[in-house]
Amino acid sequence: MLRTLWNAFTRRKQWEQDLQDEMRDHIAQRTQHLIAAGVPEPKAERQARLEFGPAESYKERCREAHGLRWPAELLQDLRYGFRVLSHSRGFAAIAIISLALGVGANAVVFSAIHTLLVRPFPIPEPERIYSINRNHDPSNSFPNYREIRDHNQVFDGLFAYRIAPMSLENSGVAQRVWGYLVTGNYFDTLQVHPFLGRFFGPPEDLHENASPYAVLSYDCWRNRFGGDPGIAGKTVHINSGVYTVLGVAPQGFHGTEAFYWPEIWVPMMMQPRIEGRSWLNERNEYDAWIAGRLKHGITNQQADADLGLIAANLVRQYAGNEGIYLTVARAGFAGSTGRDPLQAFAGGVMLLAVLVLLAACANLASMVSARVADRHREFAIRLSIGAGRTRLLRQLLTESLLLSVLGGAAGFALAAGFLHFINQWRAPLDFPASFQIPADFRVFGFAFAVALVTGLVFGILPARAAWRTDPNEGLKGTQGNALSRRWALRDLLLTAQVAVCCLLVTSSFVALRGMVQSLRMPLGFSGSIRRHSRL
Amino acid sequence: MNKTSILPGTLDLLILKAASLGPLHGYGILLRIEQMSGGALGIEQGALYPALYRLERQNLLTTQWGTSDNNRRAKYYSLTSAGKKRLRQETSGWKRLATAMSTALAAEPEEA
Repeated sequence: MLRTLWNAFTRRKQWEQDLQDEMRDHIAQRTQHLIAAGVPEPKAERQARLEFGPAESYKERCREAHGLRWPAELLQDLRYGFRVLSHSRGFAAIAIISLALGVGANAVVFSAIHTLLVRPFPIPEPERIYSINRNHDPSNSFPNYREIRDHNQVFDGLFAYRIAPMSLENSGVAQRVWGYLVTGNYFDTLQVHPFLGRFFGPPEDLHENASPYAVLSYDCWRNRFGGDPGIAGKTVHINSGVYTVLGVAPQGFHGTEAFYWPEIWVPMMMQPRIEGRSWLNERNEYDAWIAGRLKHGITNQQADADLGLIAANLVRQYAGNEGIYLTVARAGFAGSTGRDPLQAFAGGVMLLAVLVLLAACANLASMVSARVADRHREFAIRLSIGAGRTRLLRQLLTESLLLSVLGGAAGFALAAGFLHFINQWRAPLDFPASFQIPADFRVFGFAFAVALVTGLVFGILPARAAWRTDPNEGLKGTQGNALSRRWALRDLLLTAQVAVCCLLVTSSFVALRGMVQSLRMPLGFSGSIRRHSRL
Repeated sequence: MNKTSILPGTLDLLILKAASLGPLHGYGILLRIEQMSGGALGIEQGALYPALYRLERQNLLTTQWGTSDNNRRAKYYSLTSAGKKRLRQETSGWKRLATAMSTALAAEPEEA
């Protein structure tokens, strides 16, 4: 790349030299001719130059006609752009900062949405994992789970899971960790493979309190057990009971809820020991969440129809099931309760971020057009010594793009820093709700694209004013008509800026209130957790 | 010297014609055009070069470096086959136009 640029650069120098020589020879030969024709020598050269016309202007037209190789042109434009920007550091700094804020905000929101709503779970065919809702609630009773598991026709595997806090004793110190109680077919259905040791399976989840096994998450194994390679087979104390660690889950695997990062998995049959009171046979206690892998080619509607039959049977056969109906929803956000509000909220936040970017754009556009007004004289001079208007326009665009690339880079750095902070941060909840949002190449690409589009938008508007520069008026200092029109554009931009800022402040407050409200939203399992923490 | 300034677009045709008579450097093309037109067509001399570069880019002209009469390195322009074809087309087009124009301008008002 650099070599191409350098080659193009040297070739270009040669090309310029050739052009220069060609024109000089022309004038020299003309001078000789005129002398031969009897014109006195000093006058001859002057006349030759006059006949030739404005050489610089013709050179510029030759450059245009030749169609310069882009790297050389870019290099030239960039060099000039850097020089211009370094002459006005204040302008450049403010422009880059406002761009960085706009781009950074958008990159953060983009990556959050991508990670939470778009990115699939790190398991094979995650799009086939669906959760079962009872009347739009993810929880169900364990006896109902057994019925659904045994009678459905649409799932390859159906497991029950339960968010459960546990007290894990490690080197004599008991620490509260958040884990999962899961049925024996959990790991098979999700098709994950252990990082170390093995997982428990259906045979180890048959009888109540008979399977004291545990699987650790990768992070738990690294942080609490120092990454002990011989962990499999060792025993740990959970809620004062002795459990054998069977294995370690692969890095990044955290089950099927987007926000929940459990540290430990224990067979469901250990529920009475872990929670102190069994609900495994209580038909009217809705404590288990259900999810499974749909069979190949089964649609939501087919699954819902099949579940409808099962629900009808449940209602008929067992008291306490009156009025229940079962539906499927993509797993990840507490059944069907989480995804829609979250999507709406994410949409709102994205809108806010776009508004921030718009404000930054308006800010930049008005700054750039103010600068165009200040540089009116410079443009007039360049035009009158033979610069083409397209060349001028391209130079302005290059400056804008240079700014936007710098701003985009700063914005990406800002976003990456913020995401790093978020990833470290734990919400002030007694719950492992964690945001693992990597600042990866997608975020970088997004920031770059946003910055480029912004650069084009705020670069083109003022460039139109430069396009209309009249060299004569500009040099005389009477800028007249063009200037008043440009002021109108700037007024418009100012108005837009104020409007966007007002909108931004109002909608930020609305969003904040919304978020406070949604934090008060019941989490769906709070009752039993309170029960546990009283124990 | 009373010179007619040339119509836009005709400079290219004149250059192609001049170059079709053998490789020439820039000044040579100018001289050839003056000689061909009997000095009646005025071109601003610098304007020759953007046109030369444009025709070269359109692959109608090709260039090579040689030595000029006064022993200096000089760039010689000659016609490519595409240039020859273009010259033929433009020449016949121009002739038709010229005939049509002179016929039109020569028309006498009809006697009533």
